[in-house]
Amino acid sequence: MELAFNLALALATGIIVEILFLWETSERQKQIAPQAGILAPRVSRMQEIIALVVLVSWTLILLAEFFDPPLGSSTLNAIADAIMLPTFMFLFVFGMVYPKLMPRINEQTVVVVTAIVFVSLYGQVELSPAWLAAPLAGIFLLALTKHSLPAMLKSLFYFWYLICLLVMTFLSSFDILFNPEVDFVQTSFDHFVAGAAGVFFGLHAIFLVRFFLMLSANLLPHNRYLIKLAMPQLFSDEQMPRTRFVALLLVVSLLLWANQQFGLVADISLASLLILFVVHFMDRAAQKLPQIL
Amino acid sequence: MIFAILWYFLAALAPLMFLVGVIVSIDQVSQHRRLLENLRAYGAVTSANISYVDMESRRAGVDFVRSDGSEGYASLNLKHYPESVTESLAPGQVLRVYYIDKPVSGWDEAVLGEHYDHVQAHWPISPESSWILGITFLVIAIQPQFVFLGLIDFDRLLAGLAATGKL
Repeated sequence: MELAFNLALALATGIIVEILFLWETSERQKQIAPQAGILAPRVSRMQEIIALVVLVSWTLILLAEFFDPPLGSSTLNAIADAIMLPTFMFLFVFGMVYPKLMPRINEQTVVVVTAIVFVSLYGQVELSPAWLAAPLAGIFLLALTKHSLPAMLKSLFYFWYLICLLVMTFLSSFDILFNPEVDFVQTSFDHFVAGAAGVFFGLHAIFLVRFFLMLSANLLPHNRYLIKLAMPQLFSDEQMPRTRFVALLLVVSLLLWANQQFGLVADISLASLLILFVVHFMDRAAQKLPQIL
Repeated sequence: MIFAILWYFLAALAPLMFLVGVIVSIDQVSQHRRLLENLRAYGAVTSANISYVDMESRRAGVDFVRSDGSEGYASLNLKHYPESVTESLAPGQVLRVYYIDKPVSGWDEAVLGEHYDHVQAHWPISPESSWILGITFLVIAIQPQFVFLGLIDFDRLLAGLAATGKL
């Protein structure tokens, strides 16, 4: 893998920012009292760090893009290795061994992520509407109900969500990282999103193996208590009001469709960014958005 | 008591073994896909001479001349073909092979031209990997507590084990 310096920097920034976001989301969702920020006491210390990292690193990326420092291929390869090795370690530890950073989601998150994945798949693979209509309608209706689902159903919902993210893993970052002949211009922004989404999708892809094994606890009745105890860590019953949820779903679908029509940014970058946004910010939107709907 | 300890040891190792099985299987599938993609993109047919047949490692070697006139060498994975085909192969035999005519990753592998459909239909995951996946999944399905470590409080896991009479 050989990258220009600004692209390598953008990739590393994306990875670091996403790890910080995962940390912040995990602490907030587990209701660990956050430390107040030093510069801005209304935001948490972690949010302040994220903002600072984004600001400093994007300044560096833009400077690198402008000056384009001449670096040898061995230096660039060393930089790429320095990014990749710790990232793979991180993915293994927090995906397989100690899944502390998995964001907690709900039924509505699953529906929005499913919608994003299917819009991204549209045109790339042949989807059979008759085959998909029933499960998709079922998922959508479940997201509209306010009943708390049984733990076993939640686990199947969560498995579907992980499968959707695995599909995104195949659709997204690997192409930009390992195939230099991708059919769109590789900008720093694309690499930033590829880094962030790569960590997020990679983490979930590794966790999918573990979760598949966890699902086996549903097979024997005397093991089902384990799923009941584990699901609250991964799946939340909190939901945003239905009108707001439907509006969000429409906005996301519209954004993806408009981008496919007008080609503002690479489709896969927008889809990945929207998934990250939905997973990290949807629960915040449920609590904090003004009651406009 | 000793069987219980061995069983818990096996159950604790099973998730890691399953992960290894998954990684090996993914590697086998991607190698097979890469071979088919390379053959589709850069494949060429030629006559080749079998240099060796190793039935133990299920491999054979072929020598041939590439399209640019240079000498070529590739190996055949005999697991792709039925027994009746592999048993008929012998050193010195001349046959048609489908090889990758470009220096890309994995270009040192060729397939038998007459049996390409067997290669396409080949299930790339080896029986050994399937056994590892199957057995470890079975162990975890019976004793899944270890996959929940880190997600469920350890004391509650132990309490659950005690309640089901396993501890």
